Amino acid sequence: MRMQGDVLDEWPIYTPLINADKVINMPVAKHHNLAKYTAAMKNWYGMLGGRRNRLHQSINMSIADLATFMRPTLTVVDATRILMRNGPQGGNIDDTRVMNQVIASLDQVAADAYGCTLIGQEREHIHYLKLGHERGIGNMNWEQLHHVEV
Amino acid sequence: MSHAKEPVRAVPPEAALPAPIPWLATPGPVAPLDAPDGAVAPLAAVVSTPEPAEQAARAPHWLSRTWKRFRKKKKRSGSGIPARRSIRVLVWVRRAVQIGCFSLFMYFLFQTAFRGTFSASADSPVRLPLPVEGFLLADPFVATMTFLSTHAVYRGLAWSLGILALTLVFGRVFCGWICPFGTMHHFFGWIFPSRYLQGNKRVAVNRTHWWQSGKYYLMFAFLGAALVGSAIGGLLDPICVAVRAVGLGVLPALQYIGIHSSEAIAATNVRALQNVADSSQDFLSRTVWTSHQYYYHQTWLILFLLVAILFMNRFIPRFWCRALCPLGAFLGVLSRFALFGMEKDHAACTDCNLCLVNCQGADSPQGGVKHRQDECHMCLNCESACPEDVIKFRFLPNRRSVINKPDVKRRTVLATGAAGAIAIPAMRIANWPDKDYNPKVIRPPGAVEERQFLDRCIRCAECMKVCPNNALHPAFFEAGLEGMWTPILIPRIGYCEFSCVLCGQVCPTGAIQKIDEKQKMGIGQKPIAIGTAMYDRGRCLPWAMATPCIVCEEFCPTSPKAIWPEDAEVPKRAEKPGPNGEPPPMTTVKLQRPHVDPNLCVGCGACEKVCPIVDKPAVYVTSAGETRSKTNIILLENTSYNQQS
Repeated sequence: MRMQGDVLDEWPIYTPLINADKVINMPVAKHHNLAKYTAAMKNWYGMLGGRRNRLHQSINMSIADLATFMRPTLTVVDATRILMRNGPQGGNIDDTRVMNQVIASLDQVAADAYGCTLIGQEREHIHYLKLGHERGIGNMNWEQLHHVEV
Repeated sequence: MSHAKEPVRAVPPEAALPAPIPWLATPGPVAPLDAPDGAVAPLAAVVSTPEPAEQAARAPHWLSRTWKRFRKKKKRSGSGIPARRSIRVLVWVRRAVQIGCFSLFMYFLFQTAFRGTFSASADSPVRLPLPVEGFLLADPFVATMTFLSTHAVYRGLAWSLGILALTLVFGRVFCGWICPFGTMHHFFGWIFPSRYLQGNKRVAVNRTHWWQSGKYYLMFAFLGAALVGSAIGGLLDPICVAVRAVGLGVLPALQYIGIHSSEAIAATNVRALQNVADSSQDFLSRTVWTSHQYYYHQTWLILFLLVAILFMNRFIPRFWCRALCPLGAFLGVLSRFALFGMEKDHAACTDCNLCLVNCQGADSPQGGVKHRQDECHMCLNCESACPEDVIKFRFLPNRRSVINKPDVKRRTVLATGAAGAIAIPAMRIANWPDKDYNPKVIRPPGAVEERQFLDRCIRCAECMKVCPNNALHPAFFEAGLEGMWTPILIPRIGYCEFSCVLCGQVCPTGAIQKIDEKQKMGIGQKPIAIGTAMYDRGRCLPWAMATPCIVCEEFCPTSPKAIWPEDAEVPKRAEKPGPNGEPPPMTTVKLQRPHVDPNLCVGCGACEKVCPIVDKPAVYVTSAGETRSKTNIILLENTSYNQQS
């Protein structure tokens, strides 16, 4: 399917997600060695087929492309237990920390911008957030948005 | 067969119009000779014909003819003395047992797979609920071979004592009643030659032939090889052949056909067809298919040999069982002590050869010659077919008309045994595992040291069938001629799942030990390594091409990760030359360059599997540093000559 992104031009995609009326994105928040922190925006990797491990050669751009292409109705980030280091698959239970948090947002960029602070990252250092912000997918300055802590 | 056809042709003319010269109208030996004794049977048939004749007016001609043939009781030729009721029942019991054992074997083979997902922790171990390797555990030839090579009986193989005991009482019942491979040959020996091997031809081919001794010599050669330390006889053990050929060849091929035909049906856009295809694929994927389409390295030869050996049934029914099967030979040697056997009343035999027509083992059931107990599969077809009450199976028969020793010559036995024993050193000097390490011989986790491994591995392919990632494959010549079809791991096709120990669970001979997750993952101990990952820096994107990647590090399952990234800034040339034709400007790229810690790497091959350079990955695993070896070691600290291998 044509996605018309900067690096993701045409790629095999799980079509039921495209045909759906509404899409709710429910990722798990994790450390990622290459992208530093991943949750909502990188979760769209999961709908790609093909040899998607090649996308790591331009991981920030491809995450931004996917998030531009897929605009979910709602994003719910599972941060009940987060992988703090050695992500995205650590293999060690000691690398995780129980946080008991859930982030619900209409804005996937804002959700990731807040989420990265949970594992001690700064949003300015996460390149795909900046790209998403610049493209107008969402607002990485989540404080400016209406937010509620429950 | 021929006897079934003739009465059908012979009777209707008599019934319809008075045959003027009956002995000319019915040329076969059946009607005239039978008249006094067997008059009842044909008359009954004649009386019942007018009724179907009415039907024939309505029903199509071919249908009424088939119906008649179906209703007609097959008349026994000769004196027509019916076989004992117990034998007639037992023949059907045998068929039921054969179908049951074959189905059980196939069911076990389907269940030699894991269709769930693995957890990353050792707390939820994955085990198969059924003893799927059961048929191999009950195989006395496997038990004997591994006993000769290891001087010990692997615990599970004690089951084979059951088959041994059965043979000592009933002879080769295993071959005729239980063996799933034998049942395949029984079936194809019935289907393939149906038109071409009838009557006299079938009688001739079912007589005992000299080449049936071949299997005994083959068995002695394999036992000789076992004595000098190689379980290579598994190449031709029937259960091993069946698991290997069906599990690695037939089932993946069927899955390929199934998936592609359901795709073709999906493309038709006919709703009813699509639903049928979908639900059948759904059912098969839960019961028979593997989690995805499996590919096995060089299986074409395994499949070709299976097809060839099954096709031999067209010319010689059960050729495999009669000429090649070393397990059959082994049980044949033991059957001389059997308490159950055949008695013949030679004087009553009319040489009708019906016993030979139905014989499975080519064991001379006919009168006038001695019965070959060691060749007999105990299928009881001969007594069931005999119309003259010549053949009787019973306990403690008199041995006057029985030969129960295999027809082998002592010198040839010694020579073939010696040939087998010499073949192993001959193959090893051509490819000695300690001198000529092949980096591709990555053995499954828990495999014992190479020489002990060859002592035990019977090439049954259970480990390859069960491997959830399609990582284990039959070696072709990677492990030398002797190591043909032993398991090797090909990470490019599939990697070793970090918390999986299924291959050791299904190994029937202990060539792969039954390790647990804690040993495999190294919880509280050093993990079991099957090799070590190496980088080909000339092909690696961050190392050679100034391109970020690090997918290998991402997938590395050990904790801490054996692959660690080094931050680096590297020069990169721009794609286009400058505007005035000057050389392309240089920039710098921040990236991470991967390294392997050989002390942490377990050689699972996940990095090799996911490397984005597909054809020849930039990171690859070789067997160096495998835990089982004392010599194929990289690091000084792992070089312990006191450690147990």
